[in-house]
Amino acid sequence: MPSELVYEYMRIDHLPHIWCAGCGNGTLMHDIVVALDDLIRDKESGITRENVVIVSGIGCSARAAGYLDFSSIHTTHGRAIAFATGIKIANPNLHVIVVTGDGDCSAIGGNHLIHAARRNLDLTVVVFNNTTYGMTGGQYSPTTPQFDTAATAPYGVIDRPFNIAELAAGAGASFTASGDVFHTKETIRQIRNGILHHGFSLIECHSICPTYYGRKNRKGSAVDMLKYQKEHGLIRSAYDRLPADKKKDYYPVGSLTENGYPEFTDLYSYIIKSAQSQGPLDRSPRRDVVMPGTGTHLTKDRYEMRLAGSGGQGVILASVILAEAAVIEGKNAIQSQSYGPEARGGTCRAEAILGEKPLGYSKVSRPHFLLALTQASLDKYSGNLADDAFVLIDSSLTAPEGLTARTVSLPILKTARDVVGKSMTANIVALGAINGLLRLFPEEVLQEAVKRHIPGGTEELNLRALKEGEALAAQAVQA
Amino acid sequence: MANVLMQGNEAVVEGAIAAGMRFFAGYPITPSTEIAEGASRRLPQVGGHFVQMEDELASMAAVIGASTTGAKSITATSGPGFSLKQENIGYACLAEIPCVIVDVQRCGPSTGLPTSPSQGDYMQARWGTHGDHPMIALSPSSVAETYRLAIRAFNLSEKYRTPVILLMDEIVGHMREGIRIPTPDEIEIVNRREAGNYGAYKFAYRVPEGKISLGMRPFGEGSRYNMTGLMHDYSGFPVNSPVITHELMERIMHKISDHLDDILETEEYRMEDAEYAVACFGGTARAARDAVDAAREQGIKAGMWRPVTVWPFPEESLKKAAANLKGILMAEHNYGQMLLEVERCVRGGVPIEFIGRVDGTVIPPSEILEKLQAMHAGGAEGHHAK
Ligand SMILES: Cc1ncc(C[n+]2csc(CCOP(=O)(O)OP(=O)(O)O)c2C)c(N)n1
Ligand code: SF4
Repeated sequence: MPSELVYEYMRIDHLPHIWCAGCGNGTLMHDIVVALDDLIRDKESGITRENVVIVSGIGCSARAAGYLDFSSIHTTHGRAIAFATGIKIANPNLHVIVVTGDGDCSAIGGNHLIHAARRNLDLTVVVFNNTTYGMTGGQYSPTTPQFDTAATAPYGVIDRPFNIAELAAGAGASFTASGDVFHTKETIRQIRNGILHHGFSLIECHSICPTYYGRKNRKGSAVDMLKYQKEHGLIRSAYDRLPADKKKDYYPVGSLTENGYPEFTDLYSYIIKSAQSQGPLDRSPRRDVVMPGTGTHLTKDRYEMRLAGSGGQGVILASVILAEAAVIEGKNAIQSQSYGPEARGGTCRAEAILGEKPLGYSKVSRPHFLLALTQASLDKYSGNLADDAFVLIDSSLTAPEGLTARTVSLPILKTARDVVGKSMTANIVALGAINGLLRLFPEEVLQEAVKRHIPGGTEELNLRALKEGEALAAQAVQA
Repeated sequence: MANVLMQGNEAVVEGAIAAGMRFFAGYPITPSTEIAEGASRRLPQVGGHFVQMEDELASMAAVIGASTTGAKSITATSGPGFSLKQENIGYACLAEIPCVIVDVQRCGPSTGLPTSPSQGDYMQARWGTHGDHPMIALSPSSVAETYRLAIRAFNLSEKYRTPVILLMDEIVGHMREGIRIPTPDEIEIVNRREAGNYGAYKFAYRVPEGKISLGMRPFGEGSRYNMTGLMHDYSGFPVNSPVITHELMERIMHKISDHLDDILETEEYRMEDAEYAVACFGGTARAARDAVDAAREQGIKAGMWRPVTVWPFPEESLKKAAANLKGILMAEHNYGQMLLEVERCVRGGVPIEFIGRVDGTVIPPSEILEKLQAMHAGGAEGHHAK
């Protein structure tokens, strides 16, 4: 019976496998095959030869992927669960089984393990826990028992070990269980249930590494190590009945946790549904807007504008709207802004460069126009202006001594607060004022640009703010 | 004719989706974060999947994993995260799994200046992962070009079954510019060449006669085969053989180096009669073009030579351009990484001057112009990084 399964599900031309005589990995790999065979025969399970993918990392254990005749990918050390995450999310119809070692999944890959468990992504992780790094020659792993020796712990391991099944359960895995090499029937049952379980499942299988762990810790032959499993592995119910002080001499075989948390790809399918039912949120590709009466007011090849204020006043949005308006008009525009610490609190700077011709350099060097909404930003940015620069400031500010550029001061903040009724609209009031003074764009173009960038439901408010800004400018021009 | 104001990072997302990208895995990092944010919003709208992973190692792994199912996959990051992705980028090179990695370069090393521009990952893009490996990297200088190159990155990646790096910089990633979104019929899309359903497939890693690279049947669609980051035979099974290793390495290197005509792209600006050329890449080109225009106004015959495909380095194109030059001015935001390539290709044939900026600010046109003036007057004094 077993040999038939070997012919059916293994890449026999690549056998015999590389594992040492007496290694537990062969038995555990066979357990996976038996579990899969059972599920594939059961038409109800939905599992077929074609929709299973075996993913492994690096280690002795990881070589199992190459021997199993399914779609298989042998990845990099520690990352098997992360590769599997991509496979499962991109195609939720696949049944993704990760074969991994204790080092692979709980040392270098520990972060991926806990996060996949937390997401409750439907992967089945089968850990071949031999309590050592077999592949690299018996160094200690995160599951080596404390005070045992290893190639890198000649005086004994002082780290405390992980219990991988409990670690996964603690991280949110919705199915965890343990198995070993000796208790085949129960181990196969747990692997089978883990594959069937819809959510993150982990089966920690105690393996046997006679070559390194066994030899270094005087555990005897492979047969002795198997005998140890026979005597110390207890089916979960029996283990649970043990008095507390006895438990440390035994380990459980069987189910640890099982619950029905919602699964990641199921939840993501709701996201897809809701994103699609909301219709395209995207701003692109957008309709070509042909504005009526597009008479250009913007004549410079390169017109550099700097808008400054404090974080939260919306100068960035204002610069985006200016650039957008230029784009609507078929002109060129570049928008950029300060990021990072500079953009949090303190002064905030945003720039728009507008021009008839294609624009090169993306930074403003000597602005033709400066808007300042706070004293700090005015003081900071009023130097180094272009010769014919124009400055617009809020009327609460005082122009610095040396400022020679033409300067207009308008009650922008006050108008937003008292006339429009929302301080938040100061940036839009400012835009109205800027366009009123500079005549950069036809009014409809600026309105369209504003509409593209404001939250739904605020159109009336913002267009009113724009009008009030224009009114401010008109008064100033007349005065 | 521009009709949309779009940020460079946003153009990556839109271009990639136009190319058929349906999977993104990433971890937030300035100045690339808008790519992750955009992908999280846009992908579900087109039925694709977005996942924020626990780190960049995982993101790169997930992207490769997703690609094995046939999904065109992408990740985006910046300096520190790019370093973390390197091991798995090498995996994708050897296992030949198409995917696109965006690196919006920022000022480093280490955490450096997170919001400031740099081009200091130029060599990392080529040699960041260990071992010899093929690499294609593209570097845009405008928002519209970012959109176009995001598509081209996928096309090259699928055609040659290899990872492709979109090497951006903060200059382009963070600026907004007007662009006209091409209509679907204006876009060329290259899809992965499918392989048939062979059941237990022994030749997943043998290139059929007359083809450039391997076909690939997505996992889950019948063919069962193995992929590995170990040296492998035609079946994708690990081997130790020096003969097979040599053959495999030759094949993955030559699938790129034998098709440079298809892969390489350069921009030449006012180079027809140029005596002096500014060599640069990515966002630096913007100041370079302005400086070239200004120099021309002063009677200096200047031009700009810019590799758009930055890896492989367009060696022949540079050699051809250099034949008629009196001087080359390499301008880049690092200590002279592309400069090494330029020097290697020109081999002393033309004097080379250098502007390298590593202080987190952008080289302005005036600095390039001054250097061009000095070169023209014969007064430039050899290069040094500053
Ligand atoms: C990034 C990286 N670091 C280290 C290694 C070397 N390495 C290969 S396997 C391994 C340990 C494997 O131990 P485990 O996961 O427990 O599997 P086992 O071999 O015991 O089955 C190590 C450290 C590697 N391949 N890659
Ligand atoms: S070293 Fe240990 S784990 Fe690796 S094959 Fe040998 S016995 Fe098995």
